[in-house]
Amino acid sequence: MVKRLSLFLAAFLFTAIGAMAQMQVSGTVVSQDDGEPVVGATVMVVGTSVGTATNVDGKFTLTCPKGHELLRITYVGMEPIEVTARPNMRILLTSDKQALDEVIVVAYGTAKKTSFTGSAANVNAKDMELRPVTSAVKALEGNVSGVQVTSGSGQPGSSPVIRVRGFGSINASSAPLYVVDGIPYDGNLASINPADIESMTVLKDASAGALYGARGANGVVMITTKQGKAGKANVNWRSTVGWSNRAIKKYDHVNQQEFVQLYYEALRNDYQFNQGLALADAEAAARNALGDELGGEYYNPFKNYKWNEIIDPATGQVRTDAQSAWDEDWMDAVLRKNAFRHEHQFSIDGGSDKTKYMLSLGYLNENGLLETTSFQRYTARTNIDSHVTDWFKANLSTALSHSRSNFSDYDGTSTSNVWYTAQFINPLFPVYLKDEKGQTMYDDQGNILYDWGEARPDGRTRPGSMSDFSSLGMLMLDDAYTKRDAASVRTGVQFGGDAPRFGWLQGLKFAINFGADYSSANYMRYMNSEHGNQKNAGGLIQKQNGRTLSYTFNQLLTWNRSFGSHNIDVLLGHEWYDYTYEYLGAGKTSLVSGIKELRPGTTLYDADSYTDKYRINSWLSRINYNFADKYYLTASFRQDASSRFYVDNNTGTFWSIGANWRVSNEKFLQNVKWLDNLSFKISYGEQGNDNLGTYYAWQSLYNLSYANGNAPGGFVSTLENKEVSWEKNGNLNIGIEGTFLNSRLHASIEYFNKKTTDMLLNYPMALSTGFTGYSANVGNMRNQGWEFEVSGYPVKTKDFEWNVAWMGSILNNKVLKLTAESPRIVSGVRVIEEGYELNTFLMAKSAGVDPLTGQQLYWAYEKDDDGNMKPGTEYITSDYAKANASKYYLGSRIPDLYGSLSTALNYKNLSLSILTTYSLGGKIYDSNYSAHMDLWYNSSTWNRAALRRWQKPGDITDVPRMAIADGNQLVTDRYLIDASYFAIKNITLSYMLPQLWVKKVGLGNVRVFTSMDNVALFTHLDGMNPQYNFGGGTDYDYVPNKTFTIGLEVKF
Amino acid sequence: MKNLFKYSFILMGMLVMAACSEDKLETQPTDSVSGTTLFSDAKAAMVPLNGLYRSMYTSGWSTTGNTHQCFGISAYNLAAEVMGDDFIMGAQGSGWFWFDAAYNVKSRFTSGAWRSYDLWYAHYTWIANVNYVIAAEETMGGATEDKNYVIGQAYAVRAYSYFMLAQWFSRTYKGHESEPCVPLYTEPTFKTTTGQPRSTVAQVYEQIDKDIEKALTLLKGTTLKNKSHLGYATALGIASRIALVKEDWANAKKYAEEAIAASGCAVGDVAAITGMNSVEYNDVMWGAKIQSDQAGMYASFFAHMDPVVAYAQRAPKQISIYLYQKMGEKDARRAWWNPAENYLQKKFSFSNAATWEGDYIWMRVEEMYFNAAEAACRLGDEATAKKHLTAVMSKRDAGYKCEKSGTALGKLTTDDTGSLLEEILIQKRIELWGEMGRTFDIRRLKQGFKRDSAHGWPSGLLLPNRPTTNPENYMWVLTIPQAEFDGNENMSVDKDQNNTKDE
Repeated sequence: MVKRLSLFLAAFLFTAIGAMAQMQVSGTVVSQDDGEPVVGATVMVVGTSVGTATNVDGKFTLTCPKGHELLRITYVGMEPIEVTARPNMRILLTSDKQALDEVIVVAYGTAKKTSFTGSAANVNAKDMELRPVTSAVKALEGNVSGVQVTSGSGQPGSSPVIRVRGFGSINASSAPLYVVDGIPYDGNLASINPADIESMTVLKDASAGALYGARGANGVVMITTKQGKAGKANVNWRSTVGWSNRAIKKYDHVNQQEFVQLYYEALRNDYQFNQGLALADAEAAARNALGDELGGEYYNPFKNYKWNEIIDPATGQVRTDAQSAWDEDWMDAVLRKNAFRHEHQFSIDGGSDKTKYMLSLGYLNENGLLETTSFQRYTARTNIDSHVTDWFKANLSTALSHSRSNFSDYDGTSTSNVWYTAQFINPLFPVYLKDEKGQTMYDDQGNILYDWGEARPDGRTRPGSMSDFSSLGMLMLDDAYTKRDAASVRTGVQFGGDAPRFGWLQGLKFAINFGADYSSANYMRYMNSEHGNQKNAGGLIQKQNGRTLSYTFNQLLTWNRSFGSHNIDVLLGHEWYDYTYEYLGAGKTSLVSGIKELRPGTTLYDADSYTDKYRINSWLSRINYNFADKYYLTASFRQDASSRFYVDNNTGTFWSIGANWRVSNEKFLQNVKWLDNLSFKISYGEQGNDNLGTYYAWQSLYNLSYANGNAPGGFVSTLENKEVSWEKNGNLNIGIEGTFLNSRLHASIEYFNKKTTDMLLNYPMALSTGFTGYSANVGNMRNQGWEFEVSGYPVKTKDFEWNVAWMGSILNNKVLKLTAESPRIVSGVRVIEEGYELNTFLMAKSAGVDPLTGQQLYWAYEKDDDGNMKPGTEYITSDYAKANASKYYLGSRIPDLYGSLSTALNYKNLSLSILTTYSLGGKIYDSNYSAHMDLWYNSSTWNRAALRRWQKPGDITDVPRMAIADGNQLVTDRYLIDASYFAIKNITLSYMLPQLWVKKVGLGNVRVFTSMDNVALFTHLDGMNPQYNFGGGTDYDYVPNKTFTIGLEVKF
Repeated sequence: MKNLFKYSFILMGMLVMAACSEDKLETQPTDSVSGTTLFSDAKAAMVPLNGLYRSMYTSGWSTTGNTHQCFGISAYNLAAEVMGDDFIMGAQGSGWFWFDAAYNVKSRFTSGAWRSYDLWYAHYTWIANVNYVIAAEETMGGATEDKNYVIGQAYAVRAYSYFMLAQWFSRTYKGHESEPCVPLYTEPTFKTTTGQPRSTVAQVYEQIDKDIEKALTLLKGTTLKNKSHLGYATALGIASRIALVKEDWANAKKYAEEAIAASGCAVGDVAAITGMNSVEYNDVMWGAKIQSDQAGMYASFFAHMDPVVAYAQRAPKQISIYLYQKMGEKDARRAWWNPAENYLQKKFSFSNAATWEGDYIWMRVEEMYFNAAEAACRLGDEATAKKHLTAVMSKRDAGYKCEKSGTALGKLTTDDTGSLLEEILIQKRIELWGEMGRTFDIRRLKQGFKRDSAHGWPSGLLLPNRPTTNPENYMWVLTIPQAEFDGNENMSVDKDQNNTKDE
């Protein structure tokens, strides 16, 4: 950006200005690092306004006025140099020592990192370009402090969820705003080709983000796409191929013999403890009941024993010589091994110093771990940028994308979900249909038959709740996809320039920008007519189309001038944002087999359409002032009027002030050689969050989807509250940033304190008023914490460079205020409660297992009048009602410290980079684990930890006696697992073929590389995904994948 | 330079124009409509009324989970049915309604997914909806008949809703008049509305009586436009149910007889009505036509009843052998159950299983004959009682004759006395099996019951250690959902929660 800017300045400032010729000089400016010509470097005659810029070959010519022979050559990222003018000069520029002083994209402009008053972090193309990430947001993890990222689903093409500096809201969204090339982006993140991205900047505080007003409170992710570079055309081809496998281990489950043993004990315990039989009678009854419970002999894999003989009466154990006819893993049956992925990128960029272009094409084809799931993406982008004259420039960029995602439509807790059924199925159940001898069965054509659990010759069906179900069969027979078409345009013109000849208009610019994002998501879901859920209805098909069109139109007036050491930069602007979403969907049942269209269906299942509109009108302003590159001040202001609120309350103002003191530029530190840069910064501001989840939160509405037969019907759905408005976020940031030892060491630390006020909550009504509550701005919450980054080069020689970086973030969250009526919102085992962290676990505490009976024991206590524990009243009980009334606050998912450790090694042409992430502290309630320790259905299985169960009086253990669907058992902290983990996120190794070889074949650069994503994960429980969500839960969901790729990149 | 100025000014002009679009900031949804537009006249007010009836057979809105057992009136009747003595769930299946049948829901009042929350929220939502309609009584335009039709229904729905709440959340009327019942609201809800304290049983029934009388006044002379609407005859039917609970036999008889006359319905032939899935039957007074795109699929009455598809396959619905054996040898209703399949029911089935169609029936004229018969019997008018009883029974069993007399009832529902009253009730149980919410009758009759495995009950539902034989027990008085206490400053869980135990 700044490169372009300087080029632009150089181009118009100095070429036009004529004569008084005294001495003609010419020369070439070359980079010392790679010997390549520097294009667009500014060459100025010191003490005059004479100057020029180097052309595409790095060459320049100018004429020095008499008495002025000193030239100053400057280029962004290079050390400025002053040399005496002479003919045919060759000038070497060396890299700026302040190279760490990156230029970053911020709201409505750019800023230098060292002088920026706000908090922003940056990920550049080189940090992610070789990684096999389909959604660029994945590359933020570990590269940016203060950002938490979920693992995301393993479904190819899905994006992870991110949170910037904690959790800004309870009922409204906590998601950041995405801005692509300066315009808020409403499309799907996976529609953007990561290879097109130049940088991603996360704006974390108010000074950085307040200019995004009502949408900035949860942070802003600025995505900037690649622009052309002046000079000869660069052609770049990159292809990768890769293979994926699951990144998280499976849960460790019992085997068939162990399952039967545990099941037998569960039955025996029921007879003995619940139905009062004597032990021997209970044992006999359990042996006899096994067959009925487990689906009869067709479902008995042990063909050498009948169900009633499988337990040896003498030992009470499964007979050790039981021979199993099958042992089929449902998960293995539905997973692909080494799911294939290939990706191809092609781009050309180049241009003159006036007009630059970039074209790119991309193709990605990725198979998912789960059979039949996949993602394909085609992308194309052109970015053109022209400085038409020295006072007029224009730019246009367009991006097109088409993608198709094939997925399994059963997810979450649905029992039809393969991640539930295939992973946690009773190990006795075969995948493929078995005859009475246990042999796999085939149809007449020789095709293998799935076991759907339907009635067998003995009249029995598969036991449990999953009748007519096969994980593999459903995947094969059903179908679901989403096709997305996206088109984006960004265009703008700018008038005005910085040339002195513009007189009083010097530095005044007026820009108009327009950006639009169109996307269409076409969704199809087909459920087959032969088996499962929709068999009875003859199959079901649903087709839905969501069309999103949003545009932003802004007009920006800027003025920047320097007066001696005073530099002023003022922005004034207006912006209009307009969003329209149109939905159309229909479904039919009774289909013609094989035709996945609505037309042949006979019966209407559903037909619906609606439109949503959302608009914001804004005025914005910012003033940057800097004195002698030492003191920087920024103030910004934005007023938003949002259609989400009642017209009298729809306007809000957001603002920030920030200061940066670049102390290293003070005289007293000028001579400190080891200090390159040191700056202190502080900012405070107020941002807003209008993302209430609905566009019409204030209105009292009748939902019109309640037609009664042929008569239209409306059903009251919300209560009016005209006062409902933004959540506000007061955001304080304090930071120190330093660069030392000739840029060998870089360190920064920041403190933040974000307080959400007027937080949107569902203000509870008495349920008997017919409403659960209404939306109101009543709560407060605080997120505060620290972020630090240390990076440096322990070794840096001409051939060898070793870089190490450590990032860490600490987050403290506290709910300060909820409503007077309910200072606690309970959601299962989690509470949102005043004085506690968001989603604190509140549950019963296990006190072990009664050695006499094998019953779960709990801690309980007596309460005072306020419902708090009376000190010293704790006792142990097996009474679950008492334990249920004696719950404990047991922490939350929020870690004590999380961050990353990374390293990069460069030796000559060889580079190796390793990125690892860590998270310490916090807890996860693993409901997957809990559901497979305390079984509800005989169609699911036990975790191996259940083998520690109590078996007989005297056993000392932490796992109670076995039981099925023991409704009297409470959820306890037994299933709260330490959330700490360490992950090797990525290892990339690349090798640049020697120039000598590639030049011979006429190429510029050739690089071969290999990259592995999600290499390894170390957690406290096998199977648990510690990054499933921010609330500390787990679910039956698509497991993330690890990907191994190899690639080739060619440039010429 | 001149150009620069020129363009700048043009663009400045555009800037100002772009700013002139403030009115575009007032956006409206397209899938909803603001309430204020709906009550201007009686025709428009049919929209919220029809939406209300739709919610009475739609799942998904009344709870945060378990929606497949929460689909409005039919679900509540079925829950009350499985809690009784005649209607057996042969197996747990997927678990729907099993917890109701096992009396294992009261402790779950803190959850938004169980019966307490569902019933409470659903009925109070209906009340809130009609309170808006009633509030517009003075201002609503339109023809008088149209207005009476709208407002009258609103009162009838309010009476019905409070009546159901009173039966679920407190002990029966007679003898418990001064016990706490449910809070009363007769004004529309705004965000400033405060939660009310529990009124007494007597106060709630006073409101119910007022509402149903007002409804009858307004609805008399109006024409029923849709069988789902609570028209004049149906309101009379509700009035007779209310009177039975209040043991106001004279009114129960009067209203039931008037309902029969006003409904224009006739007792159906067993062959014609088997399936119980069409509101077109001549005996249906109140019910909802289910069209395929409005069907609940798995979350529907027939998904739980029809043994051929969906949930009922693994949770078969059977009649108690005790009750089955009370049927005469020639009783045509024997076709409704199959003794060869554990007395599996055949009475209810989808009209079209492939499209999930099957209408919901909430009141049949046969019930009115039984109500009138019971009331007449209680009043000592056995001739009229037998007349009404025979009106139904002659269509069930051509040779039916009843020589019984008297009003003696057993302590338990299975203790036979041989009285006429018992005969009326037995025939009503058979006739309305699966559709009436049997526990409501058990409770008002103050009988106990006992489930017996010899009658076909599975071991999980025998309730061996529960006080089912004590009609005064609290097993069937539901707990009030926690969400009520969370938002109601006039009710606290410590003082106002129902007895969470059985007795």
